[in-house]
Order: sequence, then structure tokens, then C-alpha cells
Amino acid sequence: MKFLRYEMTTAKAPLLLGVKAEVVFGTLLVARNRAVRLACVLALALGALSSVREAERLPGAHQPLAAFLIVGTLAAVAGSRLFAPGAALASSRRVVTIWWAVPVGRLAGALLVILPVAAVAVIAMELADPNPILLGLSMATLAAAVASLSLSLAPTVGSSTACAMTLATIWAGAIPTTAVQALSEGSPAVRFAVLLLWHTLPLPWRANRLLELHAPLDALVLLTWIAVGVLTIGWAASQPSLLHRKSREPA
Amino acid sequence: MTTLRVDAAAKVYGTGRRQFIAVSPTSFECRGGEIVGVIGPNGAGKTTLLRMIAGETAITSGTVRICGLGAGTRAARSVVGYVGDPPLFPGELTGSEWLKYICGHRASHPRERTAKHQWAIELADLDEFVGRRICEYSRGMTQRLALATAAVLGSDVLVLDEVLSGIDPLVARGLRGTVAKLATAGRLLIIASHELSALERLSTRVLVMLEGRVVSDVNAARFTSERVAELSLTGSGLDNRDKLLKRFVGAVGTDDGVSIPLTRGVTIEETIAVCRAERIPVASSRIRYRALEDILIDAAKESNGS
Repeated sequence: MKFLRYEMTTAKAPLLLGVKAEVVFGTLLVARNRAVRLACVLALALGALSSVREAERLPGAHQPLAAFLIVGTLAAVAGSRLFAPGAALASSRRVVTIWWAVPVGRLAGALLVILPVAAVAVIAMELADPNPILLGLSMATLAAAVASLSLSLAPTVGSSTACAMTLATIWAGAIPTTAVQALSEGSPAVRFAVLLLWHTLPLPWRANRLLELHAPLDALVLLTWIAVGVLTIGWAASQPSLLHRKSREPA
Repeated sequence: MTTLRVDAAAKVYGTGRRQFIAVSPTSFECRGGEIVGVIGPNGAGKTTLLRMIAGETAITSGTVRICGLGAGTRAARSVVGYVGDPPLFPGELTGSEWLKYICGHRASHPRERTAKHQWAIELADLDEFVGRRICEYSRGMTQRLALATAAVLGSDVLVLDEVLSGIDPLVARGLRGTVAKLATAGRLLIIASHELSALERLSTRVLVMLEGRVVSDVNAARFTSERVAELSLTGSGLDNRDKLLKRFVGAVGTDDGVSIPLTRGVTIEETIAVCRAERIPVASSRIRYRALEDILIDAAKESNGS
């Protein structure tokens, strides 16, 4: 009788239950992945290294940019796993729920894993910034924006390529502005392209500026990237052809 | 009520000289409680047809309606459980975690989610290994998890691609039992498989596909109750078997003789009498029930003939 009772149930899940399932799924996808775990271990090692060398340097020698680089790196790796071609992407379509529930839920799940790790590493580093709440908010916003960039690339280019592209973006974002200007002094077209990317991508310098100046534009750019990620996945999940890409990457 | 209506649905890839017709315009209808087998050689269009029904691939022309809903729409996908070949599961999760995730999207209350999760485990007999990571599963375990997943996701229609293939007889028996249970409860199951013997035991109906066309739609129960006389011929007899193939409608050549359907009043005695009259030596004879393999061979023969 139990069989008959449940097998004919057609009730749709309430949205909250579906989002919760996605949060848990996102957490598991990220926490069980070797690449993400390795990145977390390296971030913690960096924090530990900084803390044991504390005596050799003045407190506050590390700038917040270091924290943004750490959280950006973790977000790039974690985000690439959330909609990797294969089961992660296929399941986003098969569960059939409202289009934004899957990306938002999985993104939140990924942040639940990487933010505590980044926070521990950053606390160990004793940054110069005195306001931990603002620093935490800026880190969370950057992490969500970077993970969104990474997850939105993954369905079309594959998770490894998406991760590599996002990592390159994050690390390029640590280049000083003067160096960027010097690099782009050649042709006007190169200069235009470099400046466009420099000002539109979710780079660590923007999170750093958000922390220092509290400029709404910086928050807006980062939030726009989160929206882009959610919209892209909403679209990708409606494209059946993308589901047939076979994952060639180990779990 | 018709659960699935496929009306002149076709799938074409590419254009111009690179155009490839995966499925030619095809029409059929299915009702809840049916188990429909889809058979055919590799490249016949079975998987494409299943994907069209599940809404996993866009239809080039025609329509596919599931419970009156257009295939591929959100509403239609929410009543279809599809398992591809190979089934896609995140290997880093345990079977239980995966089922909890799926059940979270199909339950209206946390308690119902727990009950569904338990139901799915019992349905596919996953108890022994559901706590292990999916990447450690054998083929049989994966297929059982796939069936449980489809059962949770698809409230009305289950589309299963090669779920019965490549598994040991004991697991296959268990899976057949589960499929039969789901059909008894009113769901429509569409199963593509190369495991013809499994489909013979399960299906109520069989669609035979060749080169993107459904060439035959047979009632499996009626078909498999028909009998066939198999005559094993010795060397000189094999040279003359064309006479038997012409004499008996539906007769086909086998490796060592002929296979003659015992229909339209034809008896084994009559076939042996003809052999005697034609001086065709018969080494041995036996009667067996017709098999899906016979349909497939007949269809391929007709296709080549045309």
C-alpha cells in the first residue's frame, strides 16, 4: 500500500523545498570535489604561513586585496563545478523548477563552503582593514560574482576551461592599474579592449575599492555579474543540446 | 485516456548536403499502464525518439504530446522521468544524497520527501549500497538507481534508454519486477533496449525502428504466443532452402537451416512433408515461440527488399 500511496503523487515541490535541495546539492558538489578541496587547503596553508611569520613583520602588512584574491580563487574553482557538463548540468533541467531556483540555490551552497574557509585564512593573515563586517560583505559579493562568471561559462566551455579562464581573470585583476595602463599604451583597439574588460569584469580591485570607498557602482557591477550568472544558467537549462555534452573530467 | 501522442514527429540534424534524418515522421499513441519496448539496430533512431518524447531534444516537425502537454515544456517535463544511456549521476554523491535531492524537487512537504526517498530505495532495492558514493557503483547498481530516479521524477511517463542492458540476470529480474510494478500502478513506460529477451517478458507492445522509421508496431503478447518451426538442414539441404523460403510466407534463413512461422494453418508436419517431397534432408526440427529477434530480422529483410 505504501508503494501505491507515493508512486502516484504528482504534487509539485514548494519553491523553498526545491531551493533548499539545490543549496544542499551545491554544497555537496563543491565540498566533495578534489580541486575545490585542494584550493581550500592551499588557502588555509597560506593563512597558516602568514600567521607563523607574524613575528617577522608588522601587523597589517597584508592588504585586503590578498583576501579578495584568495576568495576569488576559491570561488572560481567552486563555481566551475556547479554546472559542469554531465550530471550537474543535466540535473538542472530534469528537476524542473522555477528557472532561478537552481543557480541561486547552488551558488548559495557553494558560498557556504568557500566563505568560511576564506574567512579563516583571512583572519590568520591579520589584514590592515579594521572593519570585518564590510570586509566580509565585500568578500561575499566578490565570491558570488566570480562564482557566477565561472558557472556561466562551464556549460558551454566545460568546467576545467571555465575554471582556468576565471582564475586567469582573477589573477589578472591583481595587476596594479599603472601596469595595466602601461600594457595598453600600444594600439587604441587593445587599449579599449583591456580597459573595457578591466572595468566590467568582477575583478578583485573592484571589491577592494568597494571596501575602501563604498562606491555603489562597484557593488552594482559585482551584483550584475551575479545576475548574469543566474540568467545564463536559466537559459542553459532550457537548452537540451547542452545536456548531451559528456563530462570527461573526473569527479 | 491517451498518455502519449506522437503525431508525425520527426528529427532532422543539419541542412543541405549535411542533412541527416534521425527520425522520419512517426505517429503512434500510448496509454498509461503500457510497457512499450523500442527495438532496432544501432543508429535506428531509438535514442533520438526517446529524447524527443522526454523533451531532451527539439522536434523538427510534427508534435509530441504527453498528457495533452507539448513535449519539452516545463509542465510536460515535470511528469516525465527520463534516464539516458549512460545515466548521468554526480559520482561524488552517495545514492541516498542524490535521491534526497531529487525527492526535494518532487515532494510538497519535508515529511513527504523523506517518505518518497524511502519509497524510491525500496522500489529499486537500493538498501545495500545507497550509502556508498555513486562512482563506486557497478553497472547494475547504477541502473537500479537510474530507475528509482526516473520513478521519482516521472509521475506519468518513464522513458528509459538501455536501462535493462549489461546487467546480470538477478539484477535484471529485479528491474523487470520494478518496471512491472510501475506499469501496474498506471504509468506509461517506454524502454529502448538491445536486450530483446527482457523486452519480450516485459513489453505489452513493441515498436521496431529501422533507419529512423517505426517499421512495425506489434502487440507483444500476441506476437510471442505465435510459434515457429526451426529446421536444421544438412549440407545438401542448405543449397535447396530457397524452395522452403518461397513456399512458406514469413520463412527466414538461419545459420543452419530455416525458420518457418506456424501461422495460417501451417504445421510442423506440413513443413517436414514439403522437405521430404523436395528431397531436402532435415537433420533436426524443433518448435519454439516467436521472439522479438524474428520481428527485427523480418523488418530488416523487408527494409532491404524495398
